[in-house]
Formats: sequence, structure tokens, C-alpha cells
Amino acid sequence: MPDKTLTNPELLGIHQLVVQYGHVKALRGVDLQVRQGELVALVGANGAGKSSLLMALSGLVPMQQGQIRFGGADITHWPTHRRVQGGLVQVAEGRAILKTLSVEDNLRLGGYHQPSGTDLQEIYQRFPILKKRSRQLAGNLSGGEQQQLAIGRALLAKPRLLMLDEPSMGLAPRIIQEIFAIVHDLHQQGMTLLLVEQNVRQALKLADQAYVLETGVITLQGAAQELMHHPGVLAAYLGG
Amino acid sequence: MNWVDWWATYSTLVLSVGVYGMMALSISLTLSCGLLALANAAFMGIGAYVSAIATTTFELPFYPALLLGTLGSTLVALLIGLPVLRLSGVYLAMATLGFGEVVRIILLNLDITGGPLGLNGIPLLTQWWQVLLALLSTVIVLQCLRVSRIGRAFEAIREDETAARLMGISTHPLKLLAFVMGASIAGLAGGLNAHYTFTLSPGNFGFENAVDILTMAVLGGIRGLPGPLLGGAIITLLPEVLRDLQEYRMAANGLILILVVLFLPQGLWDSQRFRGWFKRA
Repeated sequence: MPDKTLTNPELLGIHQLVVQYGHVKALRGVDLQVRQGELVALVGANGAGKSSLLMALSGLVPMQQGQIRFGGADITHWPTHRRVQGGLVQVAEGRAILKTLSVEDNLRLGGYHQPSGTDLQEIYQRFPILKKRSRQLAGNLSGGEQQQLAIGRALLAKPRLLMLDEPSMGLAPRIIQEIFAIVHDLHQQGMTLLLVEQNVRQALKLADQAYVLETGVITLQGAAQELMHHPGVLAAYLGG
Repeated sequence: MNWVDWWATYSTLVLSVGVYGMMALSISLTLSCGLLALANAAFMGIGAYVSAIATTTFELPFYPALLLGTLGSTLVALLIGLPVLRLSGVYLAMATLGFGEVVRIILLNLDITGGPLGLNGIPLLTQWWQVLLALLSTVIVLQCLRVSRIGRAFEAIREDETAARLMGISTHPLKLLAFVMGASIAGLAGGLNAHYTFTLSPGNFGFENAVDILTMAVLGGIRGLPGPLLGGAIITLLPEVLRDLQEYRMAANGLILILVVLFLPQGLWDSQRFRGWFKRA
């Protein structure tokens, strides 16, 4: 499948991003680009710096060097809430569900900064289980349901780019398939996505473009289909 | 004992139940967004002293004096909240306790506050219905806040601040709002308190009082508004109820608190536990 999005305008551009915790450089000059309508996968082993990259993109960890452009604006120095309001929305690792709040309250918080108020019906149509459980405490949902809640909540923030940090983490294989089906649907409906995954095979199957991150540096990048057959990726991540 | 005698004996206690209900609500507001701020006793002191100085030294009427006391503590909260709320957890607790000590020492050393002797002869202007009105207004305002999107944002910040920020919530201004509103409530409560106790001394608003106020909220439970009111009433009334125990009174007081915290960690008023009872029935 040739990538039809290659000619689309850039939505997110990262230039020479450096993130450092004390003496440890988590990211050592990362360049990455996401075009409008694209699904970009960022894969790599544990500790490669994938989550640090998303945290820096959301403004949750300070960056020492580099520039972030989003939708034509330089957002390098924007605070987190302003980035979210601008449409750069993240589903954090571990889902970050507010366990003592109801499902519905969690969803309403997703649309916190929407001046027009929050329309939950669209989300309930997409995720019927959330409607069924709307009055329950979010902490009582199963892992898969919590992931749906986390994605639904992020959609209510009206993202222009949705970043997903390891959505398959800690889920049963059958549930992982459901979550990837949701990601696939969102992509088909035109959503721009940045997918961070350790589940490399699945991520590459879904993505248009992909980046491989190793110890804070991008070591490979290109069309996801090509990377799937790249000898280095095969050896390191896909078991030969 | 007829009604008039009873009121003469117990009016201070009854008014204190209302005033400390407000204090417990004021600290539950910051607790509800995850801030362990222990400056409420100091804000109560600022409100008490400012309004008492207004009615005694400057001979202002009661309402303008109350307003000045409330504004005074609100303003101070705004000034110290800006830097202090960058801290969290025990660091915030220590910084706010430190602030409380600073306030106490200042009250102890200024001439206008009467120094260590405090203020005496403060006119007894507080009526029971004024306390009730202030308490009810506080409850109504806080209830409106709780069900609003700001109330939900407070809960999000308490539960997981990173998650809250990722939902586009600007956490710093909201924390400041909770802190400053808590201080306003405490300032008003202090002004009311000053005008039924006749005297004020700096020791009334020190460390012990700060911990008492925290205990009220934790004992009652901070998941709703009835909890702090209940906790405030219990902590205020307990020394009276246990009067027969004489010197063992404070020990019994402490024992009751330990038992409650051990067996009812969400506090006495826990709507989820009540719901559980009804489901089983």
C-alpha cells in the first residue's frame, strides 16, 4: 500500500530535540515529522526514550534543546494546557484514568476546555460499553474498558493530533486486537496519530510512516511497510 | 435551666461549632484539589485581628470590619499562594506551617495587635444568625463549585495532576483559586470569631489550631460537604462532652481520633459507604 499522505502538509515537526534528566540524556537530538492524516509509529525497546519524547511533546518534561512546530506554530515554549487546547492531545502511558471519578465525569473532563460544552453522545456511539458503565467508578472498569475510556476522553479534547503511549500495555491479546482496531478506525476516519508501541509488528502493520528509537536516537525511519522487512528491524524486534 | 441561662452558658460553644464548620470547609477546599496547605489557622487569625482592630481602634461598624478581615486574608493568600503553590506534598505543608508561625510572631510583636497581651474588649457583635448565614453561604458556594467543571478539575488535580494537565487543565491558577477561596472563608470565620470571644491572643491561631482544623476535615471526611461540618462540630464539642473525664479529657479526645482514622479512613461521612448500606438492605 503506497502512502497517500506523503504529499500532505506537515502537522508536527520536531527538530533536534534533547531531553536530559540530570546527567542522563534520554533524547539526543531527535528529528521527527507527522503529516496531516498520517499514522506514524514510534517503536523501540524499553527505555529507548519513547515516553520521554511524548512527555516533551506535551510539555510535561523540560527540553534542553530543539524546536517543536505544530500546525505551523512554534510551540516549543507553550505550557501543557495550551498545547492541549491547540489540539496536541496525548493518551498517557498507563491510561491515566481518574479512578475515583465516574466514567462520565472522566469523559466530561476530556472536554474541559471546550467552550461549547461536551457532547458525549458521539463517544458513547463509538464506545457503547462506556455508555453502559457511565455511572460506575472508572477504577472498576477492566483494562480494555479503561483504555477505551482514555481514548474517548482524549477525543473529547478535539485533537488535531492524537498521541497514544503504549495503548496495548498490560492488556490481553484479544483486547489488544480491539484497541488496535479502534486506532485503525480513527486513522481511516482521517485522524492524525502518533502511536508509540513496543508491540512493533502490530504498530508497523497499522502505520504509514515509522521511526525506530534506540537509546535516545532515531536509528531508522521510513515507510512502515518497508521497515517491516528491514533486516535490522527483523532481527531486533520481530524475532528474525 | 431556662433558655436564657442556657444560651448565656453555651452561646460561645454553639457559635464556635458554626465558625469551625467554616474552618473545616475552608481546609477541605484545598484538600479537595490535593493540596496539604495548613495556613488556614493563620488566615483565620488575620481575619480576626483585622476586623477586631477595625471595630476597636478605628470604630468601624461590624459589616465593613468583617469585609476588611475577609479581604485582608484573601489578599495575603494571593501573595503567598503564588510562590508557595509551586510546592506540593509535605513541602507545601511545611511552607504553610512556616507561614503560620510568621503570622503568629508578627501578631505577637506589633503594637496595633496588642503584642503578647492580644486585643481585649472587642465588642460582642456576632449574632447567631450571622454565623448561620455565613455558614450556609459557604456551603452553597462550595456546593455550586463542586458540581461545576472547576470542581471536577479540582478532583482531577487531586487524583492525578499529570493526567489533569494532559486534559488541558491549567493547574496552577486552579490551585491558587482553591487556596485563596479557602483563605477568604477562614478570614470571614475569624472576623465572626473575634466578635463573640471578647479577646484575641496570637496563640489562638498557631500550630495547634492549624492541626485541629486539619483534624476536623479528615475526621469528618472530605468527599462531601457534610463531612467537614460534622468533623468541625465533633472536635469543637468533644472537650465539653468529655468534661467529666477531667484531666483524661485530651487523651480520650486523641483516642477517639485514632480509632476513627484506623477504622473509617475516609472519615465519618462517606457517601459511598452509606450507599453500600442501602444496597445491602
